[in-house]
Amino acid sequence: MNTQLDIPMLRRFIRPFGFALLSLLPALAQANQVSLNINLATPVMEAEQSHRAFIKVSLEGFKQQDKQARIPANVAIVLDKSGSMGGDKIKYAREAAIMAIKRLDERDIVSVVSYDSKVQVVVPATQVRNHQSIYNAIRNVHANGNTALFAGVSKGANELRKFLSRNKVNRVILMSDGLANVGPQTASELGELGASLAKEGISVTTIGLGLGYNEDLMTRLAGFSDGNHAFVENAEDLASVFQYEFGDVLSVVAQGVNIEIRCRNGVKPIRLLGRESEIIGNRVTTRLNQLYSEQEKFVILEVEVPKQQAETELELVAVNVSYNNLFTQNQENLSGQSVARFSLSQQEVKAARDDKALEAAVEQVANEFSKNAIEARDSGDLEGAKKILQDSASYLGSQAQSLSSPRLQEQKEEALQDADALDTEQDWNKQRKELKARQYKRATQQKY
Amino acid sequence: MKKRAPLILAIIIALPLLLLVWFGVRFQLDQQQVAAHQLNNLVTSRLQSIDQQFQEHFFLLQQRFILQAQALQKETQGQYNVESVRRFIGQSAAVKQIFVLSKAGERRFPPQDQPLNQHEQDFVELTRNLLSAPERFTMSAMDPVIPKNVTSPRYLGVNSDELQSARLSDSVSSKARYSADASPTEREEETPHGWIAWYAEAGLQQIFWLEDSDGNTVGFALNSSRLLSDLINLLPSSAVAGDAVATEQEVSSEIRLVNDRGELAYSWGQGSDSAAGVSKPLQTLPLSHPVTSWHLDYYAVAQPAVITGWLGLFTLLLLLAVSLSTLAYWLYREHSRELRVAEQRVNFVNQVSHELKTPLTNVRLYTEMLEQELAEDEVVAQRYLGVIGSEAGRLSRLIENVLSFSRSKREGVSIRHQQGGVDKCIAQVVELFTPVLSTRNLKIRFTGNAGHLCYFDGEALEQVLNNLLSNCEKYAADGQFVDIRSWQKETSGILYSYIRVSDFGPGVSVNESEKLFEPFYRGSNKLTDGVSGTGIGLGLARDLARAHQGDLIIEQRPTDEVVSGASFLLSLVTPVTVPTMMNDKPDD
Repeated sequence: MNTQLDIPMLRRFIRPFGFALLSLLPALAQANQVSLNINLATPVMEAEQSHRAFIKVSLEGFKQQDKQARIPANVAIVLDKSGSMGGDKIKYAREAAIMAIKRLDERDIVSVVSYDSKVQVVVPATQVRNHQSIYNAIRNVHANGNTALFAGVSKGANELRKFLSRNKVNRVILMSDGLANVGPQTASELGELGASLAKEGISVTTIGLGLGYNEDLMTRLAGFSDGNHAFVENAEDLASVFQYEFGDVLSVVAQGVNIEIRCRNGVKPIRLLGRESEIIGNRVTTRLNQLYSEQEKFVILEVEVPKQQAETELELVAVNVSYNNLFTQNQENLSGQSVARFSLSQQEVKAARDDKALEAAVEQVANEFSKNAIEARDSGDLEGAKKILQDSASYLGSQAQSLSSPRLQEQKEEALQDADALDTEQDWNKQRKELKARQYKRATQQKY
Repeated sequence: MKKRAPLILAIIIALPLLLLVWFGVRFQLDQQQVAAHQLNNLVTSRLQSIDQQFQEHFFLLQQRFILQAQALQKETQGQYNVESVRRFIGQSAAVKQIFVLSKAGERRFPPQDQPLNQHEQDFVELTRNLLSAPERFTMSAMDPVIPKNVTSPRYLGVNSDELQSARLSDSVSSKARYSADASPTEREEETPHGWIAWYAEAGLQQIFWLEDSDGNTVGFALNSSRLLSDLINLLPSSAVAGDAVATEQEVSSEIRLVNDRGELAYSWGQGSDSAAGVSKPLQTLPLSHPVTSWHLDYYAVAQPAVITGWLGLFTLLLLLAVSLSTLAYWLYREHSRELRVAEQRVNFVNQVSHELKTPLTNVRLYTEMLEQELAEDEVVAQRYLGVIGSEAGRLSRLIENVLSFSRSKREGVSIRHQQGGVDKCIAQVVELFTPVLSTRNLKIRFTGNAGHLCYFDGEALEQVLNNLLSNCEKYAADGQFVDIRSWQKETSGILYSYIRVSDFGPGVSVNESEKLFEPFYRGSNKLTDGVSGTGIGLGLARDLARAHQGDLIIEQRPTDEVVSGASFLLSLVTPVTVPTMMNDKPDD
């Protein structure tokens, strides 16, 4: 409510100022700005023919100038301490959390919530001043009971709210190894919670440990709030995952990224690959909760382009991006457009092809195939699932060849392996978790 | 006698114990009831305060929604254009979807003439029935379902500081923000609004609606996951294991929030999972609108306080019982030892007396024989022999007393009736005692008026008189005279004989008069008195008198009388004919 009212006013003041600054110090300004790239995979299309085209809209966070000048973090670590976490698992989880908190300092705020059948606030939201007392509190967490995941996340988010600020990286890091069995437990309910938290600028990173957790729920929760997701099979690896996660948290440069894509001139949006999006008429909107320093995040929009005459140019989409720059603490806007040219010359079409963008598009399309395959496998259609993956593999293969892309070749191998793995009944649980995590990473360009 | 003592002791133990048990148990039960009642009240108020908190949450939401709706209306100039509403939805964490119905009941948002996004489509699908019946959003129709009008004033009465202040600041800021408006607060009061709990997606969907100033109905569908999350955040979290600062209530209880599908949504407190899963909740409180189908369950862990109460009572009673029994046992042992000692003493005296009796009889026999054989002129020897005889007589009376006493203890006193004259018998005794008393300067004055021949036990009468007279000898030596009067009286065909023995010694105090008859009691125990005695004489005398259906009493002299001294009155039944029945009458 506040931001909505205040930002236009702020903007009015700051924009001229910002522009002045921009013209004076272009180098600095650029360094502290998110870069927007809109790449049409096929900038030149065959005329007299309708096309499916992929547009890659990518954003890259600027480099953090100074490691010391990072954005303060407001992190809630939500640890599963249900009975299944007993033994080494909880020990590793504790140590992982402690190792991760070691990276924070007094600018940051940390809280630790543990849950079994009930929820305990182990460390209420507090500035990271006295590391040792936080560690001691964490070391007191012992495994026992059921899994009240929903309440755990709720309480974790509540701890964040005590210091909630748009100028902080607000994040719940949820670690769970089991099915939520106390309180809401469906993926959609958790997703809804995630969506609500995202609206407040809180993202939830979910770390699934072992083979017992619900990967749909975990990816959904992370997906709706644009957090990270990881599958950790062995508890020993928790520490490194936590390290990656905190690395991400500490390198956030922009938050609240809204991407609005408007299709022009009769171009129809078909789907946005990779992320949750809203398509209303010719308007596609999606949202990233944050951008990390020097990490590229992109979405692939698939559109249908109507027949055009040769040698014409057509604006396909106009892109508007708004985000909250955490360094300047301003709401900033970026815009761009994608223009296609139509030609009858096949060569021209081929020569103009943007291999990088197409590679990304193919990757995402194959990722969608992979998702479909899981759905098919879930509904019991083993053969169908297999076929989808095989089709995906051959699609990847042919594209890899034409683009001479080792990445796609790799993905093709993966798809083939996955197709084989569908058969093995015992390993499916693990396979599915791996697949889900991989799909999630690919779709959100998660770094680890 | 032997069995009575333990019985009395047992009663002495049992009675207070039983009383204590009764009171203790009653007290404990009362205490329990009171505790249970208090606990119940406490639980109820605790649950109600939670419900109250939830109501406050909804009230705050309502306040916020009303303000937001006003802002939205103002921003869009009453048009509710799609962009603005969508932006609003995109920013409001608590709201899942918004709908706007025009005055005519037409849907303005989600728009009917524009493409909808997926969420809006789903929402329209789910609420088709609701939205097609705009009469649901009239105050009158809502009245029975929405107790908001009731809860609002109740809310104001609550002094939950945090929320109150939150609400105040909320309203203050809202006033500041909307002060340009004519009178926002007043309008807010007028605004018809209400909550609807709508079943959708197999779950409860809370919708808040209000009517704006143009007559449009604006509805806010809550994000139900978020609602639950917020409600959970209103509730306390559980204590961290190993944390010493857990409140008492936390330790002993668990409260669960159960949703409309009967599923556990959240629980806190310290109840063990398994126990609470099986047992029934101590109390259940259904929540108020708009989460009516939800309820709170209160589970109490077994109350250790009550058990310690019982334990305390039982240890107390046990301790008391043990100490009382010990005391009683000790008393009983003392008592029985005394009895045994007394019995041994009596036995000993008895045996000694028996042993003495035979030689004494010989001594008396030979003294008498010697007296007869002795020449008249041997005056000194005669006198000596007289002393020996009387002392031997006294000794034999003493022994007779002891033997009679022990016999009476053993087998009761028996009476042998023989015909004779009472006066004659008395005269014999007086004659016997005259020399003994004269040595002590006592003179017997005998007035005999009981001359009738009758049946009585002469030996018993002699013994009684012996005892009375030897008492006079011992205690009333300085009284000079001992008066003995006897008379007879016939009442309703039975002849009674009365003998009064009075002395002029120091007399007997009232306190002493009953004790005198108790065995082994002696009027004076002081050795300096130079008085010897066994203390059984008077008791035995009275026993004999009573066995004779009479009595022996100490007569109280009027206090104004000048002369002192004791007066004993002996009464005896002395029938004229042979009393056959009386011969074998057993005595007590």
